[in-house]
Amino acid sequence: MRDTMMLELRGVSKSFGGIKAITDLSMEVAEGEIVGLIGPNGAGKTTVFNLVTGVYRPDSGEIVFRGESVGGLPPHVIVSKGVARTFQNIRLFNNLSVLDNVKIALHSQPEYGLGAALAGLGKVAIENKRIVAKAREFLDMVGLSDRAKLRAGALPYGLARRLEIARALALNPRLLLLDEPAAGMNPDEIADLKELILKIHKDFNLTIVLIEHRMDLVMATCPRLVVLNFGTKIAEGSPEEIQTNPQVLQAYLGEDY
Amino acid sequence: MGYALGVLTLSCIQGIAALGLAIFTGFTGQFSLGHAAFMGIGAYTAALLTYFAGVPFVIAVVAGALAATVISLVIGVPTLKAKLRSDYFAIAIMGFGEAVRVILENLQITQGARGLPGITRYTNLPVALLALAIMAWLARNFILSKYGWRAIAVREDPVAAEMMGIDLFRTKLLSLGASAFFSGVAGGLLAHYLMFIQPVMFTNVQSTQLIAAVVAGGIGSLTGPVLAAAIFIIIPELLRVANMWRLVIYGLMLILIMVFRPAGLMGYHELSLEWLRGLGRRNRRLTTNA
Repeated sequence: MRDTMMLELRGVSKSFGGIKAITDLSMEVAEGEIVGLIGPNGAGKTTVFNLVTGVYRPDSGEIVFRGESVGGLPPHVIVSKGVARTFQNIRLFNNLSVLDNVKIALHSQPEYGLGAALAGLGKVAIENKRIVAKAREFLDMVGLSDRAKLRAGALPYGLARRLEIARALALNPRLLLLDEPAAGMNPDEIADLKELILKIHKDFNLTIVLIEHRMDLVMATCPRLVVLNFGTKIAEGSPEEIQTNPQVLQAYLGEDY
Repeated sequence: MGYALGVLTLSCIQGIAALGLAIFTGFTGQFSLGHAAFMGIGAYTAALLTYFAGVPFVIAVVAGALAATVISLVIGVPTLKAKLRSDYFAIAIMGFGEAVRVILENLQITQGARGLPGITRYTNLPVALLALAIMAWLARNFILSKYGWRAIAVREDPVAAEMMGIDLFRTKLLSLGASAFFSGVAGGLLAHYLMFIQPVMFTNVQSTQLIAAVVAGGIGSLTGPVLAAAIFIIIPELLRVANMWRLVIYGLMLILIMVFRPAGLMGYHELSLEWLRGLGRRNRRLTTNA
């Protein structure tokens, strides 16, 4: 084995009723990689994320995260093992403040039990304060600290994406799954997002899988791509290889490209 | 005077039950149409303990609350584990509430539908106020802790909450247990105030009163539901003079609250000087715009 594997899918299939969303998919993500997962709409990219994070249970095949089979475990267990994700249709806690969104991601860190919490012991307040300070650090990192008190639902699109990333980072993941983070962004915002992805990749020693339709972002961040179509892997390789791969061109452009 | 004190005492007791349901509904986002059953379990357990066993009042009330908590976990584990959607869960727990009533009506020791008379009166206004203060303090501590954060996350977006590593089942179960404890305390206090309890006091009517108090009081608020619970006790009493119109006005009141304050009286806020000042400001702005 060349590198330590962060994530391996071995012959994973998943269907919904009669529709095969994913068929016999095998792919590997090595530690420290940024892998782009691309493909036409409905290719099954988000289903892969849902399988890896335990939202769906695979019908067959194995999902291995850091040498441990995690297929079918409940999401909160998989998250606690070091997987974090963002959603295609942003899922923030809209009624809560920007700061509280990140605070909640840190919920497993305060060191007190239920008894101490109910009794309102001093250490509860101290621990909570420590968590708030930590949450602010994450907001600083994505440039949202001046909006900490704002309602998350009131954030403009690009910033909401950033908050979702901050919230995922607060989970202290080893593997970060980004589902179309650039959707709906303008070119300036995409340039900022590119910087952010490369920065957190380096600073947090992360492995990243990125689903994205914006090829400028994919080409700039992902040294390796995996292409899905109709739930199967049709190509894999560097952006240059993918751009000239006839099967990929056919999937995107049709029979007579 | 005694009458007014009595109404206030009942308001405090109802406020404690509303606090409990606020944790479950207002902060965890789960609906229940059966919390009166937990009040009933608390009331009967506490009353039987003081009546037959001569157990001290405070211990009996706590024991009643613990009994309600244990029973809530017994019903909560299978229903919450089955991942019933919130509205289905509300129906399941309503059926459970009916079952509790039927059991209370048929047990020898509870003396069936005739009810249990002759309970010593230990609850008065100071006792009820003190209990309300203690329970409000506990509820506040719970909500401000990491356990409260988890509950709020589940209310706001269960899918996102799960992706934050939050165990939905345990979070909901903890909120259910906590809310049943509050209901149990309220039941115990109620029994030792009225000196007489019967199963019909703890039916859907009471459950609906509680959920109305939480929704009208405001989701995401502790003080709002307490306030609404008190209003729903006090206003019908004041309206006794207009007996025929009582329920009409009561219904109208609910409608008006939902029309003019759709998030409830205090949705996502707590009663504080700061909030009242903010309210004043908002209203002024509204008038200048109009």
